[in-house]
Amino acid sequence: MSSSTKFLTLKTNDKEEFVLDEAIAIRSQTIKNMVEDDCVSNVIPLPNVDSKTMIKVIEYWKKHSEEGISKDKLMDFDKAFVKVDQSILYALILAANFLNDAEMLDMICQEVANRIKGKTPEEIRKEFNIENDFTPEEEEEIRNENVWAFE
Amino acid sequence: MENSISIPVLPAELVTEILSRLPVKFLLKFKCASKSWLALISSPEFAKTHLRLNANNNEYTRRHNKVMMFERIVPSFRDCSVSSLYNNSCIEAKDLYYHRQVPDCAYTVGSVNGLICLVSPEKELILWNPSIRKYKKLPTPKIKTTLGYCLYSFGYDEFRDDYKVVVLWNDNLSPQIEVQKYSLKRDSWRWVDDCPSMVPLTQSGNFVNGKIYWITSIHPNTRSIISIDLADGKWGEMELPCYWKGGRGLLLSFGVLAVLGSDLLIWCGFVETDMVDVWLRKEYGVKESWIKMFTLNILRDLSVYGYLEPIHLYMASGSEILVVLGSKFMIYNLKGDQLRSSKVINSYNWDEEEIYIESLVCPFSTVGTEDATKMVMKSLGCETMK
Repeated sequence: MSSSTKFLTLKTNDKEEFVLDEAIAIRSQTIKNMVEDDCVSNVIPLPNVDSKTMIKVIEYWKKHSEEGISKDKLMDFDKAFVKVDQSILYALILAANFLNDAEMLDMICQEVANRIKGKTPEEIRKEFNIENDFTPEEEEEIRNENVWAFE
Repeated sequence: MENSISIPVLPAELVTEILSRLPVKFLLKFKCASKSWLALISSPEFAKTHLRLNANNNEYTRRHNKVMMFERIVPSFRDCSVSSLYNNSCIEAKDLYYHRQVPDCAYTVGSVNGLICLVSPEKELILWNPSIRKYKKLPTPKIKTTLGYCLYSFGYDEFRDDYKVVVLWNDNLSPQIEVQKYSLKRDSWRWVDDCPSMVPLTQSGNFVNGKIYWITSIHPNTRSIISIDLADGKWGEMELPCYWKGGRGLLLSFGVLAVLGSDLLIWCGFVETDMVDVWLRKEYGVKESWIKMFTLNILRDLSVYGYLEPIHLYMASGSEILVVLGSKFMIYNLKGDQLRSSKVINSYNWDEEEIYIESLVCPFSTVGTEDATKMVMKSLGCETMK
């Protein structure tokens, strides 16, 4: 195996191609496994990620691969990175999950968790597209069980 | 929400990832979002995932750690987060009005995974999770004597996912120390044989890394530490460090066992030098040994008392320790310098404190919930969670 810089081409589901240093791309466990198993041909298809999301992912990977970057600088970067619309955040969660980047997934899940903290169950249902399948009586009963959590 | 159409629906495993990063109170609120959320948040598996994420290091400044203060003269329970103590010089603790659940004047036995074990003066044992406000009265052990002493310890058997209470007692007449062990899964007490100590114990046990440790004697010739492994029930013995040596002068207190993070420690104070030495038990491969980790210049802070009150130590960050001295909170660094103190304005004379982690762990049983949620879920036809 050669130690010189190798590049990988990643192809998103909207047919965009991204050429990336292998050392950066293997932040994704999914890509790393493919590289290690030698099943990488010319182009790695990423059927679950679109180009808009991939641009964000690569931005994150590049910053986190910078040599000698301080912890504080990374924290500032992360803070700014997650200041995006809910829809982008969700797309990033799905991408981080597919690419199997535990660090990124952890950060974004924590951001979503922080955003939903103050919400009511009604708002949560809207946020996560979930249907209220309780009868009003059942919901009341569950609510009463932890009534103090609503204070 | 105006752009809700464009938001993708997240698969269940990612919803679990997000929810497991929420504090307990919000999770209890979100139980009524839907049946599947109720089932998820009520499941012991989720409680474990949540706990694992929030307890994955030994630093107590993480936001999920709280300190509970117990007052006995005017019985009260108050708590505050450890991080607020750490970051502020003056804080107000929250009064827990619902404490009527558990008996007044109870003594703490210990805390594991968010469960606090308490014992009342009438020797009634309670397992309490203050974060979800659930408690269980444990059956009483068959202690055959009212004389002598009775020491309780609380721990967790990770192998069986079971919470255990161990009680040791001696009637001061015979040399034999009697031992019983309670298992939450079985909800019963069993006799434990062959306690290796032949001398009366004076301090409650300390739980760390699956074992409970007791210091057997203060006398140098018989000194040792005994332990019981909660998973296999085996007794063990180890030596104490020579903490009284080293030219520090007269011992103010004999060695006291305590726990710091995931390490067992022993501390002792010296009169002339105002020092408290802290020794840690460290594992290097298979060999274990005691190392003097740091010395706190602590006694001068206590000169008003003239005697050494119990010290409790908690790792606050990588290099700082939260020290509880009597009813005072102080932050020290590992060089032994006091950095700052923290005052609780509405609780200044508490008798005991216990640090616990916020968790969803239910004290009823580790195999499922037995509260209204379960009944509701049953009536809903939801699958019973294992």
